[in-house]
Amino acid sequence: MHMTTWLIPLLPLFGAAIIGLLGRKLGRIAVSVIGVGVVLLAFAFTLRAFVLAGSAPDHRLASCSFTWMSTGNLSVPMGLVFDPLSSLMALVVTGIGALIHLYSVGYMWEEEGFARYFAYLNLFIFFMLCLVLGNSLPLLFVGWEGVGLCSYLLIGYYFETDYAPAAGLKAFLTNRVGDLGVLIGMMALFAHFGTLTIAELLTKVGHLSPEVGFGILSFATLMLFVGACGKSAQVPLYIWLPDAMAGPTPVSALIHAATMVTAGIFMVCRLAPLFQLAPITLSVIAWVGGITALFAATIGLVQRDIKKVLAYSTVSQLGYMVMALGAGGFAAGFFHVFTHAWFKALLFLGAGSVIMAMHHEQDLFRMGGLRAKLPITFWTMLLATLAIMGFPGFSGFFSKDEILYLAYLRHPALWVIGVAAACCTSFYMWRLMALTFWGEPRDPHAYEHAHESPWTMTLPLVILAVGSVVVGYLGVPEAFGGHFAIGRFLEPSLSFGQLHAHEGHHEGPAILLACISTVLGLGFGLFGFLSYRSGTALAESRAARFPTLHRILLNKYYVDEGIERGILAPVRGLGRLLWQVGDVIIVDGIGVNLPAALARLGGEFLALFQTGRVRNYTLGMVLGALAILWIFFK
Amino acid sequence: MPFAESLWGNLVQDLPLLVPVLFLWIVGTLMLWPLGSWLLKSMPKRQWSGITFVVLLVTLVLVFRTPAGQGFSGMFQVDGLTTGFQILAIVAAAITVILSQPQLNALKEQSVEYYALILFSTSGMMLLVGATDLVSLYMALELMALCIYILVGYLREQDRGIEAGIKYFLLGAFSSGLLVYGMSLIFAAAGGKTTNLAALNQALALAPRNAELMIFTGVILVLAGFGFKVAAVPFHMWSPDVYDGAPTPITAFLSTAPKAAALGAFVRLFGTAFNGVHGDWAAPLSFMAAASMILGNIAALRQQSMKRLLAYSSIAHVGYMLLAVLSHDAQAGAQAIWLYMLTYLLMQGGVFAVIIYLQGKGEGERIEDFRGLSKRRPMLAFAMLVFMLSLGGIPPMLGFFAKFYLFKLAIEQGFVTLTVLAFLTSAISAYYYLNVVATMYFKEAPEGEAQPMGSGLSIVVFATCLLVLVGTCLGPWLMDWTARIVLV
Repeated sequence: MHMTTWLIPLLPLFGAAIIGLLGRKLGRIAVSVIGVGVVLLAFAFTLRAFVLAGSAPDHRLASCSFTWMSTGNLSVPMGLVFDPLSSLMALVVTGIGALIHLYSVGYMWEEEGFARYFAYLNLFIFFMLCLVLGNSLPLLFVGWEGVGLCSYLLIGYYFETDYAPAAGLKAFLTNRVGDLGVLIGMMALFAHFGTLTIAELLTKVGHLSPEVGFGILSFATLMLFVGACGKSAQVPLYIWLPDAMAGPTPVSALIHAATMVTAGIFMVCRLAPLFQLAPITLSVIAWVGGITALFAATIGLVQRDIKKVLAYSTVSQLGYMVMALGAGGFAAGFFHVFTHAWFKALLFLGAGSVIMAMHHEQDLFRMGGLRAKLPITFWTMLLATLAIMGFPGFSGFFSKDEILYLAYLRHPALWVIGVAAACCTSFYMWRLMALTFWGEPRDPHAYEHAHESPWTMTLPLVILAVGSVVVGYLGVPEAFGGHFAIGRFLEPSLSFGQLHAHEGHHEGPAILLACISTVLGLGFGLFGFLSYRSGTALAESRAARFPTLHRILLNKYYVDEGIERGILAPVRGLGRLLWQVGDVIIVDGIGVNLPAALARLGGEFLALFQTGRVRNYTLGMVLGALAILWIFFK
Repeated sequence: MPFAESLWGNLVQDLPLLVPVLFLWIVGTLMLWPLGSWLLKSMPKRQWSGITFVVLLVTLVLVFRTPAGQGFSGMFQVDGLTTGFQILAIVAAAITVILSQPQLNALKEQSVEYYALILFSTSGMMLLVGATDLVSLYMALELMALCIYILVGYLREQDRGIEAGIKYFLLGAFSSGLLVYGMSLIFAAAGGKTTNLAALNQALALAPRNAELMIFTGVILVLAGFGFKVAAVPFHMWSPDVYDGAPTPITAFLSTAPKAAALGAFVRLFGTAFNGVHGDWAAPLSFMAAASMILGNIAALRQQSMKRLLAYSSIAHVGYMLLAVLSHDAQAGAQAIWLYMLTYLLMQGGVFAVIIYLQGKGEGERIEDFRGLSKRRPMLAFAMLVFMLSLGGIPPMLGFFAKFYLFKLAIEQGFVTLTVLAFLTSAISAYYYLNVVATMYFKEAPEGEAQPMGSGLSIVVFATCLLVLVGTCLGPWLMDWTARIVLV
């Protein structure tokens, strides 16, 4: 048992090692088999652990751990833990990961760096599993940093281009800001509780009552949330995610939609009992999430790049999840992580299929009328669109509705923000669908050559489409007569055996709210569809009517420019100052070159005494002995 | 005849202590006289190095089997210190013998005498480290040194070699004079009754106040004599010239074996005889250590000849080791020196093997000759890289651990300023060691074919490289093992 659980993260690591070291010699088929196979195997073992953990008395399965490091009063174990939260997340990572690996075989087949791609992707799965399954914060942090590294490597996959490495760098640097927060948060927790093992930490937390005012718990959780902001692309650290679309499309689906970007939400859920105790942090989280959801959704309204639309959509959806966490709905937030993983991965993969059919054309305004050419892609993407817009009965409907309801309970204004974001979501998704699949082909040449993708790509689409529809039924909210089963399932992880206020009191007009948001969403979806169904003319005329607004949205509120002028330029100036004064003059000059010159001069001076004559040497010895006598005799 | 009987009895009792030395003497004598001339006719000369090597191995086994004890009227003692430093001397001699084989072949200068002299010199070292009497100490020192004078000037065809030999001999004789004079002053100050080290210590403690200058002068002169042998500043001036002029294998020998032996005797002499008068010699010795570290490292910076560079760096290394001689805890000091010397021996042996390879037929020992070695002989360059990093004491190499234990001891004994100085100067040393590495890896190779490498040489290079690497892995446990061997 214990051995097989260790295999879950180690299998992808082996895969990465083998492909990374021998990839060029193995050939594409062997690389595909190994790359997909290890993830599939890991999925099978995860499934087994999932079942075993479910049947365990406390729904927890801790695999044997040994001491990783022990110094002073810090002792960090190395071990894996399977509880409802982590095993479900691990299933998502390995399951959807396997599908996307399979999809990548088709999508990347023509690429030069096929093996390199799969080595990175397997390595990513390894680190993601460390993050999810690790039983201590340091191990989680290793995974956290590792997925950041893989994300960087994969964003910059097309390293011959100018923009891809720059985008990778941007992602890495932005994430570093967040990582610093995680480190500070971890240290604060260690200073206060004396442990970094998650189970011990949460046990100690259990005796405390919610913090009044701003104390150490608020500080630590806020710092951890800064990390979550970086990884999960929340305002103001979201800027890297849209640029991350420079990577291959399956990477966008796996890392920048389904798994890695939800790591921040996962971490907050993992430490849910801790966050429960910090009301200040929770309200910060709720408002940051709400603002992000609306902010990103409005930018998504006008983007022309199909992947950029989906990227802003992801940021917006992540905002939803974070808002749910802030409203105390950890289960609801994680439920949305779960459903979002299916339909957003599907949307990206569908977009990838479209892009490939159009010969690497990503501009929506150059597509159109692809419905007949790409039937499987079209139908599966349609299902995903219905899911993300919250069409009744689809998975997004249930998870989003639960979040909006919790937001309403927290503060009605949050609900308004959430509904507005949902309307934007419907609008831009239908805009995307209409521009891609309806209307006249705007690039006849590319349209002529467009064709459906191979089975390795369509099979994952179909599986994900089925998931997008059905996974919602795992958590039908109580307002609709369900039991919110996923919430009960996650309960042992989220409360960690402690009795906190049960989330969702279900007072208030749950059904009414749901109806309002659903009708509004459908209306805006229809509006978007009708505006773009017959082409871009209508949209352009509308843009001409509100030139300022359109320009602001198109330029993403000028956030990148603001950061460039407000932060990067001064930092660069400081760097130049330190370089020319601090480094060139002080360190290199006074610190290095001056002593070096002195030493060299000393060497020249000493060489004067090395005359090669015995009489001089004898004299030297005598003088030396006399000098010593003279100096040291008291 | 009671006198003869008691003499015989003592001899039978004490002789086992000297078995390894006696073995060397007998073999050396046989090599020089009847056996040598008889075999010479039937055997190619080049096989002598192999035989010598085997002899040294046997001696090593004998050393391990020698029982601990004291004998010859308290003139010689076998203990952990003796055994440990005898091992060092034998290993150094063995490395020298292997290195000599290709070099002397290339120069067509093989001869039995050469190897016999190495054996005699080694026997002198083995006596030196066990000597517990001023007289036996001096005798052993001279036995060791006289053989080396000849070896330094062994290549009679080369002016440089002759000059180095004579220079070393003259200065050596002079330093011996200082040493003997110092000893006689101490002998006199202690009442002229004994030359035994332990007895001297007691006598010196009882010496009258007005003998202080006499004792101090004696100690300083002895210090000068030993300083000359280990090439510590300001008694170091011979070493760059002699290193440069001597045949390269002998340079390797010179930079390791006599230093090991002299340092062993140094520890014993100052740890036992002058133990009580510690305050008197600690300050001058600290001065010598500090001056050696500074001068050795700084002067090495501008060297273009590899052998001269190693001569100066060897002065610096001795400076570090003198830190351990200063230690109040003689045993810990001896252990630190022993470990340092052992690692130094390995690294030095490896470096000299590489130099000999590059030298080919007596030319080319400049740092420039290492240009592009990484392209021509990547394995060799890698080994050299390992030696250089290790000599520089860069973590986690073996040399780092040796330095670490040495400096740790010095800090524990309270020599903080000196240790800081040692750190700083060893940072300087990184420059000239890494300069060699940079030359090998980043400079273009000169025109011309790569020389074929003798199998013996490559074995030495790779074996020592391997040893250094293995030792690196075992670094944390080295001191514990040393403590088991070197027990004073």
